[in-house]
Amino acid sequence: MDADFPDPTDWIQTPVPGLQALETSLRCQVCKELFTAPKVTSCGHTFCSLCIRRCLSASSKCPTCMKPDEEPRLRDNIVVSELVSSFNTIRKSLLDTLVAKEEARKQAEEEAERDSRTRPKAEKRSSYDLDDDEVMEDAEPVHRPQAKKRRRQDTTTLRKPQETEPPRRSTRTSSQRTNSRAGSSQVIAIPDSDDDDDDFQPIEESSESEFQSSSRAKRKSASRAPDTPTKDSDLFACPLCNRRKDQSTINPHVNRCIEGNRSPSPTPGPANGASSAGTPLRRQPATFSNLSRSQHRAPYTVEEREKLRLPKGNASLAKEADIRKKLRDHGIRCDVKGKETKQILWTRLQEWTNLWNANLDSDNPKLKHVLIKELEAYERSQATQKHSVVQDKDFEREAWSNTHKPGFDALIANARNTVSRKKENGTETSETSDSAAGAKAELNGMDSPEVVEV
Amino acid sequence: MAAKAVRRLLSEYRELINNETEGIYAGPVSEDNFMLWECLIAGPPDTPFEGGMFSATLKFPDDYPLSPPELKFTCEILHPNVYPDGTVCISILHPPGDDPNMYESASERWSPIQSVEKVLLSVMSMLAEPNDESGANVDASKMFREDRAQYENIVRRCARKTVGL
Repeated sequence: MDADFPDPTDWIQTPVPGLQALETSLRCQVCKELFTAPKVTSCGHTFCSLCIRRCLSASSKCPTCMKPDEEPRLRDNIVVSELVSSFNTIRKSLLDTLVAKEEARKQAEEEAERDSRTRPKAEKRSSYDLDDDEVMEDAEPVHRPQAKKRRRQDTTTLRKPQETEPPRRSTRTSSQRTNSRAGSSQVIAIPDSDDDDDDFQPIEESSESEFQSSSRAKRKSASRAPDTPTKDSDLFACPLCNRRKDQSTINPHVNRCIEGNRSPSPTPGPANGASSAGTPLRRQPATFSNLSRSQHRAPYTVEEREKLRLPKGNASLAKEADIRKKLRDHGIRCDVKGKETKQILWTRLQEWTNLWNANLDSDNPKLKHVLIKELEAYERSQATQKHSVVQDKDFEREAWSNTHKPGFDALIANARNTVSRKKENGTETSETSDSAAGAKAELNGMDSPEVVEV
Repeated sequence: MAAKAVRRLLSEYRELINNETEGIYAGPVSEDNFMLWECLIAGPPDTPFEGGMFSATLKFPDDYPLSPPELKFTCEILHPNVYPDGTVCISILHPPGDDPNMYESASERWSPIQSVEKVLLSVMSMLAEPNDESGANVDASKMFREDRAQYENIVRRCARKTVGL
């Protein structure tokens, strides 16, 4: 369950634990999930549309500050909605990147520690004496001089970061950049220990194994940086997708863009952010991608929302027939048994109103039949109250029901006898047959609390 | 079980185990019933409760977090705000709607944004500062007011008992 249960505490293990606070504030304080269709109350607190509607139905107060509030005063929180949707899209890759980085750092640390312990010993031994480390090193004899050379290159590039930094930014994607930063921080750590080349080798090797791709990228950029200065001014923006390409590739790129409109526009900068402000809202959250399309529809427009919004009504004024009619109009069943049918129907209508109104606010609204199923599931989940009893955790239901089965069998037989006797006598049987049915039900639900108390 | 409540509780549980608060330990009794937790509350320092580990159960309703959980001490405890059967009477566990004691302000009471951690912290401060005006346990309230020495003696004995001394 933990694997598909993202949580703000995931960030604690990363090099940026402060992201925990960021994610916490992108989560609804009621359901502790990322905001779904966030709504802001008149006192300025933000909750999921459904959460705040349920809270306000239960008590007309803001859950945070307890100030009185009501549903019609809720407003969309568009900025938060955009924040959540963009955070949700990058969350996984960001977490993976940071975790990988942290692991690499730890591993490198361990390796460095191990090395500092083994190295002095190895130097004292004669050259015939091969230990594991040396065998490993000798396994790549051709590789070693290269590694040395590359390291020197790296340190030279590091010494003048201001010269290499600008072309790096323009030529590499962000993920490569983070990786190479991890790699370069590795190299920065080396001069602290010693200046002698031999001492650096194992660290260089470890960084080779872990940052193979990144160091390759680094090597590439390090070798290219001096002779190919791809400055930002040398790049041309594609008129169609705004992507910046250099002179040699811009023409084929524009052709491709015209042909297929294949390339989506790059991440909008501040300039074109305003024009595409609507798009992040429309983006579907990752959780919905698995569901079939037939369960969802296009988002409602503002006019549709206003038109379709259901009023809350008033419990004391509403008549049971009206409630029934409203429910039936929406295709919701009204079969209610037992006492207080009006109360049950009213609760059902309230929950339906909450679900319906929250669905209107959703970026990815569900179709009506899905909502009705959700309503039923919600009612079922609320009905189990009496089963969740405080029970000793060591209590063995199986053993208990096995030992007491004869007793129950006798009880049932007894009840049946009474029924048949009463039938013979021709007396009113309803009461006893009820008790027989009850006893049977108890046996079927052996683990129900009533049985425990018998 | 209510899926929404379980997800919320799972979230709170992860939060609790990853950001430990001193003196508070809580978790579900078993993996298949997330609606019943057991918790340990350390007796606050510089009080007669110091040194004790008081065990309690937290029972969550299906409409959690709309309704508050129910907290019940499972160990022997003498406190003016704890009923003789162990049920805790504290404002944070009372839903905003009903105010049985007519003195609590709405802001002190349960709201869906409260959490297990906050409830347990409130109980901890309740142990340190009993409210003898709303006596859930009348005998304890009386003793607390009139014979503080004996009250503290009994409390110390209870505290020692909880750690098996």
